[in-house]
Amino acid sequence: MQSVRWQGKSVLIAIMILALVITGCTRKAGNSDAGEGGSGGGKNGKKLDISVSFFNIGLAFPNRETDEYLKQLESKFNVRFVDKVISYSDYKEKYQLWSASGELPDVFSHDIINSETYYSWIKQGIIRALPDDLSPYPNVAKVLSLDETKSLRVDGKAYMIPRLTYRDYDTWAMERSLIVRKDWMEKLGIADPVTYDDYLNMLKAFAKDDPDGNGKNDTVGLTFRSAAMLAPIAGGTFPHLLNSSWVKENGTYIPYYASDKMKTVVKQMRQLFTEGAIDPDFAIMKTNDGIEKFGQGKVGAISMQATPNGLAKLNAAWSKYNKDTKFEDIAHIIPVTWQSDDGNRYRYTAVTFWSESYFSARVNDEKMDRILQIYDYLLSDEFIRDKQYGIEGKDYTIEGEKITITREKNEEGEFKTIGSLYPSFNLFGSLAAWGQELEFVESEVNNIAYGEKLSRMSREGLKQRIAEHVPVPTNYQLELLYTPAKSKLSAINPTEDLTRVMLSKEDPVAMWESIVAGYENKGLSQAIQEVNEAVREQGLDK
Amino acid sequence: MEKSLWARMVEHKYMYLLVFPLLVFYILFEYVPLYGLQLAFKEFNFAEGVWGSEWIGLANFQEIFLLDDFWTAFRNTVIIALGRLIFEFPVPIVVALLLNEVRTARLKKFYQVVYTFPHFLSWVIVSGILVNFLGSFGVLNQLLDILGFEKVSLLVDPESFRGLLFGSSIWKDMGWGTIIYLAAIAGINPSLYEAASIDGANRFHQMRYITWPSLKSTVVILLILQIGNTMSSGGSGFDQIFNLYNPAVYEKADILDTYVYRRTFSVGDSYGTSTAVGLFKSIINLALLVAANRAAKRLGQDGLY
Repeated sequence: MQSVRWQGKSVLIAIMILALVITGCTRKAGNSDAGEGGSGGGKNGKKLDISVSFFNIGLAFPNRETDEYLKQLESKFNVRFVDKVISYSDYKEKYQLWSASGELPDVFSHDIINSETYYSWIKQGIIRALPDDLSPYPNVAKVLSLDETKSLRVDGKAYMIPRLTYRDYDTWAMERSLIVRKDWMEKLGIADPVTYDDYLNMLKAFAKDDPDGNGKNDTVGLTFRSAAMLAPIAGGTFPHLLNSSWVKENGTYIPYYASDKMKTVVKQMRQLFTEGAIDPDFAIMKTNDGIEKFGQGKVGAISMQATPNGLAKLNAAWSKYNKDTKFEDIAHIIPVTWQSDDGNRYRYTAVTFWSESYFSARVNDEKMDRILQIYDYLLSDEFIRDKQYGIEGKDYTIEGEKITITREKNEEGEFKTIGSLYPSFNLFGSLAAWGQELEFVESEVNNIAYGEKLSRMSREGLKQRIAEHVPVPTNYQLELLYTPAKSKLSAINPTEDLTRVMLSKEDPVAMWESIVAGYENKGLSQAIQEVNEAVREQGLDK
Repeated sequence: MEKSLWARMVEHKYMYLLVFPLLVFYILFEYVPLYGLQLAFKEFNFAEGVWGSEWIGLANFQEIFLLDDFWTAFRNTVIIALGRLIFEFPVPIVVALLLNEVRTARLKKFYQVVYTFPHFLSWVIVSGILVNFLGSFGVLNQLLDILGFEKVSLLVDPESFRGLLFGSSIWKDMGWGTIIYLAAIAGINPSLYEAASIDGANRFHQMRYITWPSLKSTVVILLILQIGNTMSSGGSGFDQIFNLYNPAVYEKADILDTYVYRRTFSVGDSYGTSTAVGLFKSIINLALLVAANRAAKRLGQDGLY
């Protein structure tokens, strides 16, 4: 009897635990609106919850209470921003999952323009259209009426707001660069490299000739910030590698990886790897590992953006490990790749935006209006000034044209950065547009944000590149073109295949040929045919 | 008189109550999700959901069978699972037999703790340790460098990668695997050993003629389970491979599970084709399980069912 009673108790406990687990797993029901609140009545009378996902959102809300700017913005539009965290390394996976489970945030950043996903999400009602009449939001309307973005409407409707990066094709030039150790070059007696052999020998020397003089074999030639920075190295041999664009060969447009020129590229990349010019661990590194490695002083060159912001990131990593030497004294920017056979140095170029803002189909018209008001504000001149200077009256004063910075200073007497004062700028600063052209403006705020010398270095580099280098001949309209087979090419990952060829011991050219033959099963020929037909029909050939 | 089922259930009601939560678990998390399998024959439509999506027959299977990547992953799944059967499966048995021979109880416990501990580290952590340890400036290569040998890059070398998978998996799980065998050994009647030692059997004889025959049925059941698991993520080791692999070793390390994951989430391909790969995998799994069970019965062992 005793044991039966005991059994009964344990069963009860087991059931209670199960019940607890099940309740714990059940999602809290309820709508996303916070209900009535705020001032009530009038414009924006109802307080709304707006859920947002953005690449840097993980940094945006460390402490909502102390972020004055966040509070200001939330009360201005009577909303509460709810963060749904994603990052650069998992956003595709998360959106894919959320789209299937109906949990996409109200506003989210993604780069799927004209892809299969873009069209199926529109067709199946996953994302919603912007209203036809955008006149209440003039700044948004302006972005959607640019030449490049006009053509992206589907059945006359806009389903996204492109996140403008630069205002033209040229300012992209610094986005693919090598930042090299000037002190190592001087020590080893190396001049700025020009040819392929120059690059090979310099990077090899960084790895093999003990440039840090510690007697150990512990240095790396060239490392990368991310996988996307690998292929551009060989842009001197085949310019289209710089921006992964379609290339016109014998009157037909083909994706760059289908070109015969790739055969030379794979041979060179294999040589760079086997001779030790390239980081032996590059295939197992994650995004931004390279920056850390450079900061530790073990790397001769890194392939990444030499924009003011990019250099500031490197500077931060460098300062962490090197208290005695300044980054600006050892850094030197050179083109990411060697001189081409035609005598040109090629530079990176791209369409004027990267990534887009999308809106869940579950956003109703009232909320959409609120979101567009916010976007209109984030695209306004007033916000662009705040983004650089902070809160007016507190961080700066303005008299006529003259702006005086009154921002808080840190212990070393330097102005604090906007990001450290108001972390929410990690979100708002680039939610509606990257606006990276601002980085290249000569101004006091940029000197504060990126350092005077580094800002100048990047600015002058850009000027020189635009003047002396040639942009990769790119048909931008074709890049943005949608055809069903073209969108399926996203299943091809040429960077991974290039990595395999570099690390293998088999003949690189034979290997590459068999890889490209495998692309056929993923619809390569079909895509080429469709694209070229579309080019003829729509007259996309310049 | 034979009692009715209901009467027997009432009699053992507490037993049934105890089983109930587990039953709920299986129904909720193992049987209910099976409805998703129909996606293998459908084109998934976000708005319509799983039930409402359009049937497209075997088109998803046709599509995946055309892809080289699929067959590479299939081949790798089989090879890696076989390798695990050959290299990893016997290790805990040997370790259990050896541990059983350790004379002092304290020392035995010490070894057991040391061998079991790595099991509790997740593969995310173990892979981080391995990357640091085996990287070009890791401990291993620094050592090789000092001793004047060439550096090795085990993590990106397709030839060595599978060996690394087996080795790291043995390191991590051999102690954990011995637990069930040690339990079986503890259940052997001590009088058998006493009788044997009176008959003049030494430790090795005892192991050969008493311990091993008593362990055999446990080994067979675990072997069947392992074979039935061959194609599943547990058997081929999704967690381990996903955390350790890189593009350089896809051709030797990409298994069906990692392939499905990449197709679904990174490439963002259709859910239909990914489900088709998964279903294909499960069917082979089932066939292997049935075959292994039959083989065990033929060989005079009990089998699972």
